[in-house]
Amino acid sequence: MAEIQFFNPSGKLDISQRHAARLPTLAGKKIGLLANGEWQSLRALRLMQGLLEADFPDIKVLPPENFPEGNAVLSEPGTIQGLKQAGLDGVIIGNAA
Amino acid sequence: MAGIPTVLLARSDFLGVVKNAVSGLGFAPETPLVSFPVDLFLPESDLSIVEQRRHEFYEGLTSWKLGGEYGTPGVAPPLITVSGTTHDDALDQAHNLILSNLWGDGLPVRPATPERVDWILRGSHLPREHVLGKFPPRGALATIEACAIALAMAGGRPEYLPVLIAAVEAFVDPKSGGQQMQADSASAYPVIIVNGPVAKQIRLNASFGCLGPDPQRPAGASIGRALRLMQQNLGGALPGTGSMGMWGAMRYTNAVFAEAEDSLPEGWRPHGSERHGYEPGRNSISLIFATGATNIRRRGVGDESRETDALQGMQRTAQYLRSPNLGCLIGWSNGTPGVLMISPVVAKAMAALGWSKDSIRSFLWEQTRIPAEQLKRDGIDTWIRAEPDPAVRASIALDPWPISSRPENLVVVVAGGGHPTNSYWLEAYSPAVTGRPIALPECFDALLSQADRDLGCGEDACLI
Repeated sequence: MAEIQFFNPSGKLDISQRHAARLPTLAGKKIGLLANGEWQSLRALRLMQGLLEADFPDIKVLPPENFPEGNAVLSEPGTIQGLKQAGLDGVIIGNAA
Repeated sequence: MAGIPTVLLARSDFLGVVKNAVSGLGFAPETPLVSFPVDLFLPESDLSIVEQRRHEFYEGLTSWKLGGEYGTPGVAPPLITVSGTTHDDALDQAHNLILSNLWGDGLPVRPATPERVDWILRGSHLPREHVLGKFPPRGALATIEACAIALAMAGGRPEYLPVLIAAVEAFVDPKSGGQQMQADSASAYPVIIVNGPVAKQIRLNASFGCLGPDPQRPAGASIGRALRLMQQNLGGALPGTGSMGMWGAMRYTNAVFAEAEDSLPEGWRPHGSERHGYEPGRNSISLIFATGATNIRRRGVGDESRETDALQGMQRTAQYLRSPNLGCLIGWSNGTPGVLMISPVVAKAMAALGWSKDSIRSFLWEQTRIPAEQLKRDGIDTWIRAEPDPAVRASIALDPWPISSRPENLVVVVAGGGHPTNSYWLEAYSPAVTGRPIALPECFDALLSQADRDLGCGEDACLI
């Protein structure tokens, strides 16, 4: 019998952040829509705005025009600061494509 | 995002890319998302499926929960043990396990045994747990040990480790473009140009066949393959899931070669000095991302004079480079449109006619400019206007339009076999050209002597 011992090459992930706690409900909440500006993202997000407002009449939805657009800026500090200043309770991002 | 619950609208074949991006930000890779086939993302698509599945978005913001356990910082990578009836059988088991875990590249790899990894670690003075950065986009820690593991799998040796470490340092630099190139559909691959005496010392090719394969000078293949394995295993660039590289790059070994500094004509400076400011003779690497590689027929076949031969070769080169492709856009401001490789014999002939690297770049920059009318005809103008870089968007006013913001962005290196027929063009897709010095361990001469004993005295390298 022969044995070979070797390293797992996939390395270590550095998990330093926790996903945000979820909301109890969307009713009465303020939801922001962020677009990467590609792959028809605005079409899908505008549809989503209408669906949210129809399903939750007291919801407030801020459309993509309220925020910077594009893959390069979505995770930038200025964009994130803008989300906080807007007092958002939740965010939908499109498109991860 | 910023403590605000978030849900993603995603393409189903991009889930690996999304998970890599999420873990690269320091989160567990699982994230709330609603995925759809590619058809939804095409013009005038039917969006009714979004309406049908809207409750999944709502649930992503309200009831989604993270499953499983992720991340055990500080814990050493686990060792894996396989057994077989014979050593050969155990090797087969190891190889099968490496492939089934998606850690290989399809070709046989050496299992990274502790003994081999310890041996390769002699190539660095840094502690094995030293972190060079997070390998993008997945974000696994690029440690010295991770470099040694990859180099062991790629058939490498300890004297190669300093070059790999410098290449990884450059790759994980957020400004290098590595994060985007890993996931991008362009099938970009890293090109590592090495300057300084270390190249010859470790048997890195600068001459015939310098882009490989080359059993006489095997360093480039091992270093490049190790980097590729790290791109996949640490960075998550798995074809079709973590990387959207549509074709792959046909490069299991990337492209790692040296500039032929011994053959630089008088007054021609090494690439590392020109682009990164390193003193001539300093060991360094330069990282560029490329998407293509091709010959350009350089010499004439008639009875041209030397001057005409050189000029016509340059004109043909310029006409090839000014192809209305769009890879140059991403590197227009600070990167490069590509790497022109000139053989030593051509460099010598052109220098005798008064050409320099600078004058070659200036000539090509002027002769590759594209008239605005053609930009419009070919639809390039819309891509220029869509670029996130304001300087690129503003460049639409230039007529004719240059393929880079300035001549200095073009990379010209002297490398390749001593033959005048072709030049070689590595078309770039590279937002930056990133340099790093190479740090050698104190025992480097001993490592080179051992290489002589193991591999025999090469033509250019022998210490014993």
